[in-house]
Amino acid sequence: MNKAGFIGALRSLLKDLPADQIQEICADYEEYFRDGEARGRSEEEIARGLGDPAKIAKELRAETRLQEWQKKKSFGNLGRVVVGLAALGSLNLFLAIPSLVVMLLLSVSYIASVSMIIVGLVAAASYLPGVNNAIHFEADHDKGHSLHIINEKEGKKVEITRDGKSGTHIHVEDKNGTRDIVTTNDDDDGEDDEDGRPAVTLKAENDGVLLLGGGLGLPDEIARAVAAVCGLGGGILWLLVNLWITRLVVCGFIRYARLNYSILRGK
Amino acid sequence: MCVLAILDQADGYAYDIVTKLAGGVEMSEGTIYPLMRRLQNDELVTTYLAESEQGPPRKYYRLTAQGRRELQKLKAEWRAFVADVEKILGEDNE
Repeated sequence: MNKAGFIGALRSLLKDLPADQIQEICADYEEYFRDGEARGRSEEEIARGLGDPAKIAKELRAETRLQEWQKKKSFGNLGRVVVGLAALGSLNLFLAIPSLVVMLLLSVSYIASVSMIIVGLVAAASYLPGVNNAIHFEADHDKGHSLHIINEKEGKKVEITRDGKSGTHIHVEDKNGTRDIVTTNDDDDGEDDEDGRPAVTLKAENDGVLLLGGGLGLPDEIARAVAAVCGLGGGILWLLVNLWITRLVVCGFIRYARLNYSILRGK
Repeated sequence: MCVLAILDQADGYAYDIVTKLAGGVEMSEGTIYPLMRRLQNDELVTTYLAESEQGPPRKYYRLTAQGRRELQKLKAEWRAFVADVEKILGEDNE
């Protein structure tokens, strides 16, 4: 093989690398040929001394990928590093299977932490203005003193009966069972629950009534607050821990790959 | 380590390094560039272009401060290793 043959073979074997890298590598080997010739060796002799272009290309490719990955760390690049090293024959099942398991566990962990954040966000969003724990009820029909209202979407049925003496009776039916609440006033200031909050607050609206409060079996505010804080805080913390573990795993992996690489190189 | 030691004496270009190495150890000439790229990647050496007597400029390699430290470390490790092996061989001879 002569100089042109060697460089040509190398170039075609490296064609998937960035053009500037190929250019640099070929320039390096051309320089090597020039120096060899200057000392009286023939092109064939030098090419023989350099060895198999395929082997050199594999090493160069693995090295370039590793270099690329360190410059711009991304999973896409990591994948190419892995492929490059695997092609070199330095990756074996002892590394491949544990790393697959670790990646799987990490993925599950990522999904879990992201879902936790979503739960937290949803819980926190319920605090935003306009979104509250009230249910809007359409007026169904008004029979004298009692008002039957229904909210089919939430599966709740409420019957409100006005009583001049004792106030307003509210009968709630939903999947949690039935409850009877007595309010002393017409609009607000209902019967207080243990925490001193009104069990139910009534608000008149154009086309119905808005019922607010824990007495309706809506998600408890404390539970919501806990979900918001734990979901958001815990989820973000968990996600950070995941990122940290990923970093460790990737660094360890690269170190191990390098070790394999240098063993293979016979350093 | 040998390449680092050669560069510690003087900056060199690839062919020059291979020639010096060939004096001492057996190696495939072709792997010099992958090796140099790795050393470069690890920031143990830097490159610069310098005019040569004939033809276009050559790429020279120079040891960095980090490379020098690494060489010291490797040398110490190597000497400790040789000393350990020597101890065993010495016992064997007795």
